[in-house]
Amino acid sequence: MELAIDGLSKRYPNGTQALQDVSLRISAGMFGLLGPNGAGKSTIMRTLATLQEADSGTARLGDLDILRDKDGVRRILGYLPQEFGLYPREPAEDLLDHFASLKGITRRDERRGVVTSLLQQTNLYEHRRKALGTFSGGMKQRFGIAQALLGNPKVIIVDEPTAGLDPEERVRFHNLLAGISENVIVILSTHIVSDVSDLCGSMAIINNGRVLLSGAPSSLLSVLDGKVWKRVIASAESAAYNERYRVISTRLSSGRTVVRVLSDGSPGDGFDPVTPDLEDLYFATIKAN
Amino acid sequence: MLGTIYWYELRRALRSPAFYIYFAILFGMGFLFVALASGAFKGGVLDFGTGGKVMVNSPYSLNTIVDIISLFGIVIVTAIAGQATYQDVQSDSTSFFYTAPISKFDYLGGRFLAAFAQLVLIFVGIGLGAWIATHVSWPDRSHIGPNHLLAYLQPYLLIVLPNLLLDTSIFFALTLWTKRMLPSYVASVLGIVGYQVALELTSNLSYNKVAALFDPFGLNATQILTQYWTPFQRNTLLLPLTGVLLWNRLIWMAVGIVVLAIAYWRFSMSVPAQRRTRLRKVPQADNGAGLRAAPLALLTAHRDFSARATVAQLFSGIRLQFKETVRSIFFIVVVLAGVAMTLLLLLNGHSDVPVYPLTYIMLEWGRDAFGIFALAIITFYAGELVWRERDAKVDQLIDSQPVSTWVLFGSKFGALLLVQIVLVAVVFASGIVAQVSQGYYRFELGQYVHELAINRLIGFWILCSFALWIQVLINQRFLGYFVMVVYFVASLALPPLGLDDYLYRFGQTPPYTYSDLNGYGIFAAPLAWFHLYWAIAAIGLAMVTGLLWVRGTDGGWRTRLRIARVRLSTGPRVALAASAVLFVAVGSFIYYNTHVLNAYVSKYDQDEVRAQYEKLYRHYESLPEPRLTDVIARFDIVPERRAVTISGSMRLRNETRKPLDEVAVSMTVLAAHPSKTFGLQSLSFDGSTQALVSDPAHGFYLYRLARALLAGHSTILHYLAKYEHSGFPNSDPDTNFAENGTFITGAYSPRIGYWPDMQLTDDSTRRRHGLPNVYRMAPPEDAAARKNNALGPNSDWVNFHVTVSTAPDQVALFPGALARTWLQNGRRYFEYKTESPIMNFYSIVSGRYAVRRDHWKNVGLSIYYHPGHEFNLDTMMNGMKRALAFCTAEYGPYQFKELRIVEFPRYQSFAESLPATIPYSESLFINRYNRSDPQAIDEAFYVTAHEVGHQWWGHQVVTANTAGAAIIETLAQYTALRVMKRAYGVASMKNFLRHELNSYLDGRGLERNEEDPLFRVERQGYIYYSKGGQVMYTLAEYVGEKRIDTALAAFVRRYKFKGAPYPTTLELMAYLEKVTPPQYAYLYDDLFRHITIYDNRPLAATYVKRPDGKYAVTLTVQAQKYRADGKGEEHPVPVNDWMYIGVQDRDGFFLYLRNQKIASEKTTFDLVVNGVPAWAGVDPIDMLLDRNPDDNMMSVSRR
Repeated sequence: MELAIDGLSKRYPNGTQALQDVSLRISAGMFGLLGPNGAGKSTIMRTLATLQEADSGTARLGDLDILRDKDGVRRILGYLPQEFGLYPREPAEDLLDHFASLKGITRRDERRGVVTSLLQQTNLYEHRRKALGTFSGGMKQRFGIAQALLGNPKVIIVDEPTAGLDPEERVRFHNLLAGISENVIVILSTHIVSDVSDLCGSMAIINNGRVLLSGAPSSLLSVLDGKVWKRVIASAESAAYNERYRVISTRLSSGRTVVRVLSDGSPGDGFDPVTPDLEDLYFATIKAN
Repeated sequence: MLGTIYWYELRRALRSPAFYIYFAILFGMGFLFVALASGAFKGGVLDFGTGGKVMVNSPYSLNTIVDIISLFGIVIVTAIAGQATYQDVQSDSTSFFYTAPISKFDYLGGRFLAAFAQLVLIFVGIGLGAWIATHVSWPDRSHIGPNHLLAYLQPYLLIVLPNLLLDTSIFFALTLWTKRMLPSYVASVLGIVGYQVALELTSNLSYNKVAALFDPFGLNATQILTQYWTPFQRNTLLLPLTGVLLWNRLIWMAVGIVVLAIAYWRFSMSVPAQRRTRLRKVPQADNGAGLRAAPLALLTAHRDFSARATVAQLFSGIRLQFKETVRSIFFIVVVLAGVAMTLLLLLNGHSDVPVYPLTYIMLEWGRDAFGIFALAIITFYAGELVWRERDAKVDQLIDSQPVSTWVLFGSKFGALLLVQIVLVAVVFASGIVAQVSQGYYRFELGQYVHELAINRLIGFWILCSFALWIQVLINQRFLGYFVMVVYFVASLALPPLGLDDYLYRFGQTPPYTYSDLNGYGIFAAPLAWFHLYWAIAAIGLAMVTGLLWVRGTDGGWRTRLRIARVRLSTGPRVALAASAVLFVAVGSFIYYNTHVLNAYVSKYDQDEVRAQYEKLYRHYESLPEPRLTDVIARFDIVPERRAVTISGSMRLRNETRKPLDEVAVSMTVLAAHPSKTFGLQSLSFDGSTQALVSDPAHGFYLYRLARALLAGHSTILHYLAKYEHSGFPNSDPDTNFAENGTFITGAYSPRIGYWPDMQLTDDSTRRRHGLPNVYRMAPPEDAAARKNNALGPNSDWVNFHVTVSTAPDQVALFPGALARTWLQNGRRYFEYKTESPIMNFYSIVSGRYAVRRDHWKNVGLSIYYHPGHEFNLDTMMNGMKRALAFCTAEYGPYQFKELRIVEFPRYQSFAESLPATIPYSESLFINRYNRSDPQAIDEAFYVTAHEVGHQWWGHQVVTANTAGAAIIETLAQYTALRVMKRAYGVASMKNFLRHELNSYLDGRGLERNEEDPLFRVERQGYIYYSKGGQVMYTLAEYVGEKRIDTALAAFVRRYKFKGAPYPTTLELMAYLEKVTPPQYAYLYDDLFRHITIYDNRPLAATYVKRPDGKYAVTLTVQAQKYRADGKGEEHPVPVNDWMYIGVQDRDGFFLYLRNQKIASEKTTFDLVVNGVPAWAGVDPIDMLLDRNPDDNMMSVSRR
C-alpha cells in the first residue's frame, strides 16, 4: 500500500502559500518529513489527518481518497499532533477508553484489554486513575502515543513528537516507532535532521511549501559524495567565506568555527574532504533554493 | 514605567474595534432607552417607574436609566478587566512581561488603570447616548425637560464609577489568580444575582436596609432613598449621598480595594510550572521509566462502525462531556448559589403577604429565582462545551477520530441537555425542602413533574440548542456570550416596542398561570403548541449547528460551508427538510389560532379602539338617556367550551322632564373583529327604531325611537350577546372564561349611554393616541354631577331577575336570592331574584365548589371554595361574623338574608363586594397568617372585613359620580381597621398603619397624573385605600371613635338606598365635622382638603430617676409640616398640631402616650413615667402621614 500525494496546494486566507504542488510517494515504514519551521510540514500532516482542506491536488492511499473519504481515513489513522492537551479532570484510563470507543472498539471487554495493554506499554498503568491535568509533559506525550496507537492504525502521523522529551525518552520513542512501522506507514515530521537519519527509510525535504527532495536518505546522499569540504576558520572570516564558497553550514565545534562548503573539486587551501551527512544534504538543499 | 504600560495598553485598546463596538452598544442603549421612555415610538413605550409626569432626563430618570444599562454592561467589564492580564496568559507571553525590568506595581498598576480608563470611556457612552436622544425631534417631546449637566454626572459619580472600580477590581483579581476567564464570568453572574436577591429582599420591608447594603451595585440603596419621592422631587432633586447609599458605596468600594490589594499581594511575577496542589499529586514513579524500550505489542480488537456503534460512541461522548461539566468547580458554585437564592426566596416569600407553600407557588417562585441561573449556565456552558477541546488543545486528537461529526456535536448537545435535568431537579428539591421546612406536606408530585420535567425542561432545551448554535455560528466564544446577552435583552425589550408576536420571538412562549381550580386550563394548548413550534425550530437549529460544526483546524467560512455541503447527506437533508416543513406547519396552525381565530391585537391597537370610542362618541356623554330600572336576563354559560350566551331585556325609564327620542348603547367588551360568535348579536326596542349609529368595532350604537319616550314612561331594550372563544390568542387569553371558575361581569351586557370607563386613564398613553389629558371628574361641588352614582351612568337602584345555566356539576352565583335551581337538558339552572333593588354592578361566578356554611344571627353565611383551599375558611367565617356584628351595631342593619364568599381562579387577585356576594380570588384564599409574628397581618380576616364593610359602603350608601366618589373604599377600609382592632387589639394597628403609610408614600411617588387631596380623590388606590384608611383611623383616635361612628351612622341613615342626588365627600365631611370638637377642626383641612405631609422626629431624649422611684423624661421633638401640590412640590407650613407623644419601656409597652399640642418646630416635654424608659418620641403609632416614619422614636439615655 502506498500513499500517493499529487499536486497538493493550499493557500491560507491571509495569503500564505502553505503548500505548492506537493507530490510525494510514501510506502510502509518510516517516512521523515524534514523542513524548517513554517515549511508546510504541519499543513501536510493536518491535511492527511483530515483536519484541514486542501485547495487542490489529491492524496490517495490505495483505493482510499484521503481528501474526500475522511471517515475512511480516520478509521486507519493514528495521529499525534505537534501540540495537544487533554481534559484536565478526566482520569487517563477513562479518556483512553473513550478514545477507544471513538475508534470503533465497541466491545467493552476488548476495549478494556486494549486500553490496559497500551497503558502498561506506555508505563502509565499505575497512573491510570489520575486526572490528566496532573500529568507531566512526558506522561502526557506518552498518553498521546497510546491514543495514536489505538485501533491498529495503518497510517500513523506524528508531528514533531520528540520536541518535549528528554534524550533518553526520545530514544525509546524512536525505538517504539521503528518497532511498529514494519507494515504501517509512519509519517514523522521534524526539523531535527538526526531524527530522520536515525529512523527513516525514506524522507522528503520541504521548504516554503514545496518538496525540494524526496527519496531514501542513502541514495539522496550519494549525490553529495566527494563534494563536501570543511575547514576551521576564524569567526571574522565567515562573511568572506560565504562570498567565496557555496557554504552549507558554519558552526562551532569545540569553540572553533568550522565551515562546510559544497564544491565539485577541492576548494583548496586548508579544506579537507568529509563524508557528507544528512545535515549537509538538508542545508545544501535548503540553501540551494 | 507604570505610565508607559498604561499608555501602551490604552492606545492599543483605542485601536481595537472591540472598544468601539462596546462603546456603540452602550451609546445605543442609552439612546434607545431615552427614546423609548420619551415616547419616540408610537407602538411602544418603556419606562422605569419614570413615566407620567417625571421627565425622561430628570435626575431621577437618568439615574435609573444609566444605572440599569450599566448593570448589563457588567459583561463588558468582565471582558476588559479580565483581558487586562489574561491576554498575556492566552498568548503565552507572561514570561516576557515577568522577566522585563518592570516592577509588579508597574505591571499590575498600568494594566489595571488602562482597563479602568477604557471602561470609563466606554461607559460614558450611556450618558452621551441619552443626552443626544434628548435632542432629537421626536413626535412627542413632552417627556423631555431641560438638560442639566449634574443630572448626567450624578449617576456616574454615585453609581457607575464606584461600580466600575469594584467590578474591575474583582474581575481583574479573579483573572490574575486563576489565570482563567470563566471565574470572572461566574462572578459577574453572581453579582447580578446578588442584585436580584437584594431586590427581592427590599420588597420585604423588614429586610429593606440590610438588602440595600447587600446589593453590590447600589441600585437598591438609591431605590430606598428615592422611593417616596414625588414626581416634582424626581424631576428636580439630586440623590443625596447619605444614609444607606453612602454606606453601600463605602462598603463596596472598600471591598474593591481590599480585593485588589489581596490580588496584588498574592501575585508574583513568576511563571509557576504547575500549581502546587497539582504538583503534590504528580506521581513519583515517573522518574525516567518512560516508555518501554521493547517494541510495543499491539492488541488487535474488533472494530465496529455500524449505527449501533455510533450510538454507543454518542453515549460515551455525552457521559464524558457531562462529567467534565458537572465536576467543574464553577458549575458547582453557580448551582449552589442558585439553590441558596431559590431557598431564600421560597422560605421568605415573594412579597409582604405570606402564603401557604403550595406547589404552584414553589414552582413559580422557583422559576423566578432559578431562572437567571439556568440562563447563565446555558449560556456559559454552551460556550464551554463548544470550546472545551480547543481550550484543552485536545481538538486535533478528537477531530481525527473515526467518528461522525454528529457524534462530536451530539455529545455536547446531549451533555448540555442532561445538565438541564440537573437544574430542574435542583428546583424540585428546593421546592420540597421549602415545603417540608414550612410544615407543608401536601406534595403534588404530578404538578412538579408536569411543570419541571415538561414545561421548564423543554424551554431550557430549546434555549440550549439556540446557545450552541450561536456559539458554533459565531465561532468566537466571548462574542457568542455577548450575542446571547443581546438575545436576552431583546427578548425583554421587544414586547414594550410592540413586537410581541410569539411566532418570531425565538424560544419564548406566552406566559401562563397555574390555578388549582383549572390546572393549566386555557394556557395548556398555546403552551404546548408554542413549545412544539420552538422545539422543531431547535431541532432544525441543531441540525444546522451540526453542519457548521468546526472540525479540524480550519475555521474559515469558505471551508466550513464546503464541509457543511459534504455533511448534508441524505439523513440530515431529510431531517432538515422535515423540521422546516413541520415548523411551517405548526407555525401556520399557531398563526391560524392567533391571527385568524383570534385577532392579533397589540396593546397599542387595543388602546386605539378605546381612544377612537372616545374621539367619536364622547359628545354623547351629555345626551339625556332613559335610566335602567329592571333587568330580566338569562346567562347560558358553557364552561366546557368557554362560551356564554346572554339574552335579556332591560326596562329603561325616562326620568327627565322632557320626552327622549334617542338612546345610546355601549358594548364594553370588544373583540378586534366582532363576529357571529363574539359580541353583540342583536339589539331592539319595543316599538320601531332607526339606527343612527351602529359601530360594532367600537361598541357604540345610537337609536332613534320612532315614538319619543315621554317623561315617566318606560321602554324595553332586548338584547342578545354571544361570547365564544375558539382556539388561542397570541397572549393574554380571556381568563374570565375558565372551565372551572367562569367570571362574567356586567361588562358583557349592553350599557346605556356613552360609557366613560372606556376612556384611557393615563396621560402619557392618551397623548400617544392624540387625546388630551385625562378629564377630571366633576368636583364634589358640582350639583349636576350628583345625578349619577359612582358605579356607572344612567342607572340607580335596579331589580334583577336572572337565570343562569351552567355545567351540571357547577354552581353559578349571582348577587341576589336564589329562587330555585333545577336540572334540565343536562344543564344546571339557577334562578336569582334581588330581594330589593341593587346597583347595576354584578358578576356571575360559576365553578365546582365545596361549601362551608354557618350563620350569624339570621343571616346565612356560606363560603364556596375549591376543595383543598380550606386554609382560611375559619378566619373568613369569623371575619364575616365580626364585621357584620360591628357594622350592624354601628351603622344599622344588614340588608340581605345571606352573605357568601366565592372563590375564583387566581388569574386576577382581588376580592370585590357585590350585594350579598363576595368573589374572592384564589390567590387570597392561600394567604397565610403567622400568629407568632408580631409584624404579621391577618390578610384573610382584613380583606373579609373590608368587603363586608362594602355592604354598607357601596351597597347601602352610594356616592355621587364626582371626585371623591371612591371615599366608599376609605370607609370600607376604616370599617376593616375597626373590626381588626377589636379582634386583634390596638397593638396590631401599628403594623397595619405602617403598611398603609408605606403604600401611600410609594403610590404618590409613582403617580402618573396628579395627586389629589382625599376629598377629591379620583382613581388612585394609594389615596382612597392607604391614605384614606389612615386618615379615618387618625380622625377616630383624635375625635373619638364613638363620635365618628355616630356621625357615620347618621350619614348612613340619611343616604341609604337613596337615588339622586347622591352624596359626595362634602356631605360626609359635614356629618363628621358636626361631631368634631373645635380644637380638631383643622384636621379636615389637613387630611381631607389638602395634601399634608409631616416629618417629625425626636431630637433628644434623656431621663433621670426621681427619688420617689418614678422617672423624669425630657424629650425634645422636632415637628415639620408640609403642604404638597398635585405634582408633589412641597412647601413648609407652620406647625400647630396635635401629635401623640410616647414613651416606651424595653418591651415596647407604652409608659406614656398622650395627644399633645405642638405649636412650634421644636418643643420640649418634661414627662414623668413609672417604669424605666427605653424609647421616646413623637407619633409612635404612625397616625400622621410622616415621610420618615422610621425616625419617630429614639432611645432614651440616662442623664
